[in-house]
Amino acid sequence: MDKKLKSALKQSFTPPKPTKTDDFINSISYPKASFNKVLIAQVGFIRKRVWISFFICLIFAYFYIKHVETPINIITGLSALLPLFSLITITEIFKSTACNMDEMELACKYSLPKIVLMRIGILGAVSFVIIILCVALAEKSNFGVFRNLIYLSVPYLISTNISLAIIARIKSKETIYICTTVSGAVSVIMLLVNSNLYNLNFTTIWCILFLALIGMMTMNLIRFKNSQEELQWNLS
Amino acid sequence: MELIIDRITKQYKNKIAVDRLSLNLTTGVYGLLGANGAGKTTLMRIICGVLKPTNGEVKFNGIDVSEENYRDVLGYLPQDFGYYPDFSAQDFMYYMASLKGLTKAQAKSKTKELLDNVSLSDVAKKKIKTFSGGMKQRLGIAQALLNNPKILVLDEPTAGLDPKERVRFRNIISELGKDRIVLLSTHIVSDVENIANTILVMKDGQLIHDGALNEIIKVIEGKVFECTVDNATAETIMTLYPIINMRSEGEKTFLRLVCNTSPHETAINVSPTLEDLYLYYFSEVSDHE
Repeated sequence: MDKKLKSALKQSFTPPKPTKTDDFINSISYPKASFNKVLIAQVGFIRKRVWISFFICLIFAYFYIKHVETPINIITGLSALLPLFSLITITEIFKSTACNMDEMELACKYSLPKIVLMRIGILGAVSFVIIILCVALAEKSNFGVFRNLIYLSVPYLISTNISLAIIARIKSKETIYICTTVSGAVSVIMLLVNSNLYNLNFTTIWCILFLALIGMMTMNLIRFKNSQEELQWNLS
Repeated sequence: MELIIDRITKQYKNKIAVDRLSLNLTTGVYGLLGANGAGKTTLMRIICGVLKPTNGEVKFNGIDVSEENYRDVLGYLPQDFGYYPDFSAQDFMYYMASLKGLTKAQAKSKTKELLDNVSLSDVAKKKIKTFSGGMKQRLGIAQALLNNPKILVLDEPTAGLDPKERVRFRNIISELGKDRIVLLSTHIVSDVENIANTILVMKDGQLIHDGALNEIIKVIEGKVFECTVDNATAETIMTLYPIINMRSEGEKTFLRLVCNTSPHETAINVSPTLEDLYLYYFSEVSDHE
């Protein structure tokens, strides 16, 4: 088309404003984030205080081991510390209910049970690394890697199991105080435990206890996840 | 676009919160009215999949309420909700966006747009624990819109908003209702009156009215009266009929009331409003409360 004619047309006619822009935009289906991306994103939403608490506890464990020589005291000290890691994890897993965010999260695409599983996955993996680090730190106890792993995992598992059972049943902001009491009690018991229980003769019992606690934890995790599928009805 | 609610019942021991309720919702704004305990929140929670019904089903374009695809097109603002106190408004929006499956880039642009729409852009980086009730409510409304939902369920969305914010919010809802299903419940009758295309009235878990404003107020046409009487007569009338408005005028009292027959020889019949209808139906409940 002739350039002059083109510019004359432009000057003579005002182009109509686009109509139904919103309808057009709404009709486009945008690509959604994949499950893996949502999972990775959840790492960033774990409260900073969780990471700081983990770090402080690990530093404390390091300096404690450095200053303690008796093998039993190494194990009892670390055993008393591990329920605290469990408590920190439970607090984070339970934060939706504690902060009254559960109803909003239940109505999202990646709803509360999935988000809870993601949190459990992330913090479970971190807890596993922490236990391994503690086992490594307890090396000078002379019990060997296997026994150290069992001795240190058992108090962690006891505390986690009881706390999971509690948060699956009692849904209130105050529930976390009950879990704190439980973890504190497990820590104190581990400090006061009879040193004879760490004899080689009891290793089988420790192993059975360890396996039973792993089984119980699986059950408690499923029960907790199921408890998150529906809001607790208050007749409102 | 059709949301089908088919014979929904929610029962807990002896209490029936929602009783065999059926509804077909298409594009538009639906206002849900009812007294406390009428079952509004329970119905909304069932529609959002937050509560499972004892019986019945909810489907949107054939997708069941329990499916992820249903939640993908849902936006929900609960009546009573909290926030992670250490989150800023922006963190909160990013977090909700991730739960709704938005990518980082989408979350960023949508957060900016919505915080701007609810006038929270300048406090986007402030912690939510420093926010007023109205600001928290506006943030709640913004998160419900993150995924550009086709079904928007708002339970008492105007609670805590000042009159200016309420008007602004009503305009946003009217605009949103053009191409999606918006269901909102409120105790503020004027909110529903101004924006809802269809009004749903619930009582004792059942839907007692479903229709446009002019259709449903027909029920009380010829039943709304105004009169100015002496104080003693006013007291007698007030014990007999549900009073909508009362104003003391020295020796006399002005009354607006709903009743089947004229309450006094000086009473004049006036045009009914939605508030009159609300009080007509729920006066019994109000009396007990």
